[in-house]
Amino acid sequence: MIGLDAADLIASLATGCYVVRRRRAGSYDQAGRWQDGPLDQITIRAAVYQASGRDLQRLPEGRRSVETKTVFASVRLYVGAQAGTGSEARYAADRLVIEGREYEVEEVQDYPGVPGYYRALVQAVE
Amino acid sequence: MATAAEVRAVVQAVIRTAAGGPPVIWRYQDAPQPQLDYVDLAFGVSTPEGYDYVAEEWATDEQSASLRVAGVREQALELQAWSAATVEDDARATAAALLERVAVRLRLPAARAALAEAGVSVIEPGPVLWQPSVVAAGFRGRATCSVRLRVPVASPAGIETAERVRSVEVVASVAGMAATGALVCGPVAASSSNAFPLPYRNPNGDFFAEAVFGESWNGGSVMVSGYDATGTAVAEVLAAAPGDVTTGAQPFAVVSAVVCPSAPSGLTQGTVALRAASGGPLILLPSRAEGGQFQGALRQPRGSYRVTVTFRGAWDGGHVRVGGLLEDPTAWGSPAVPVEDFAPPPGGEGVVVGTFRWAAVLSVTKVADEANPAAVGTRGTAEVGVADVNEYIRAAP
Repeated sequence: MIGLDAADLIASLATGCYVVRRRRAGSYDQAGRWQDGPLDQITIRAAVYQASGRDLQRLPEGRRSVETKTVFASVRLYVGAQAGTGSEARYAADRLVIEGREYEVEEVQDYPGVPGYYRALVQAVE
Repeated sequence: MATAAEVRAVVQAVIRTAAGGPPVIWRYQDAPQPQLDYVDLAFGVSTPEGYDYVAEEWATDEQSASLRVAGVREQALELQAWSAATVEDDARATAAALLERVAVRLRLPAARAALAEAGVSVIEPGPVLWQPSVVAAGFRGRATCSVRLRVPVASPAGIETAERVRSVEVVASVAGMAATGALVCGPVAASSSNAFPLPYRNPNGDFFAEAVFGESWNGGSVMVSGYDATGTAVAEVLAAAPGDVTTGAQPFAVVSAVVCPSAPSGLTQGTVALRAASGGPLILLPSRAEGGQFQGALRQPRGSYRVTVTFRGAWDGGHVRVGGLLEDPTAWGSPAVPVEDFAPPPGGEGVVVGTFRWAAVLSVTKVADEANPAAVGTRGTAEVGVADVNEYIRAAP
């Protein structure tokens, strides 16, 4: 078996450290309105690149004209899930701060085990 | 009247009670859906019923009103229920059963009483439509129902304000038009001399003129001309005080001209504004005096008014003629002084409302008519008052 350490590889290709705003799931109040959950903040080392045309084609049509970046990280990023389904149910989509601008995670490709890394598409929050 | 937010809160609370347990949320929120089963709701088509009206809330001094527009709407309330169950059985209700329960309970007195607290009434719950949807790879129970409500609507208070003529009181009303207690002159007997006695009490009242000079003003002193309450032409010079205010001592009923007798030829620097004393209404907007003359239009501090003549006691003294200055100052100084004649109603009793808008009344006389060529009567009195007690003279957004 070829031994690959994705963390080392990402560290060597990293474009910097980025703040991730991790939003715990909120809930509906008695009046039927959504109340945001508390916000956690973590810092990750990641490689951030412009998304390719093929990346954009994986997004819904209406989202392709929004500024999109590809993020490689060794830390799991959450794309969010409907309440009550899946392991990410307790979280809304993560938001990354890249060069002062906030981007929301739209899609995550999960490659667990070896080499173990995550490839995410993030889009600017308007 | 309930606000829009209060109406929404009451409607949501009533639907929540009628649903009997599942979450009831507002649709179109950018947030995850709750776990099944649940109901979402949204207001749909809003149709005006009848005509909207303007509601007035008068200040304690009754000189200004805060306006709002209000009315009634037939409002569609769109309900949608989602359920895990897609086949009805004893243990699990479908979305259709859930909405059917809501529709039925909306007919009960408890729900209607709660809605009535906010002025909302149920016209009719519509049919419940069973429309299961495919989510991912499985069916999900879904039902919809549109409920027609009647709801009150109102704009925020104070979207516009209105002010009215100061210091007038209603003392009589004839055919919907108001005569007022703010007398210009009288009452005068039909047998008195033809010229009604001075002074005439114009509702604008007397005021002192005040000049507000800009910092860089170099136009010299300002001369104000006009008339006092007796109709006498008066003038006053207000000394220049750049960056300061000069208050006069001559009472004016109306201002007819403002000039700078010592202004330099050509362009002046800075501006001057003229107002009624002590921060009162503006008479002349801040402007320069080119060649000694101001270009801006003059306005009287409290606007213009129409007059009424009230005839009492079978008046037989002829017509009453009112003369003076109309609201348009550009016509002042014309040799032909405008006059308006008021013929007594049949029997010499009643109130006659004029059509001219006066800045100041400067003369009131009796004049001959066919019934009384000498304009000398033996019966009754006449008095001149101010009309338009309920008419706005200024409205500002």
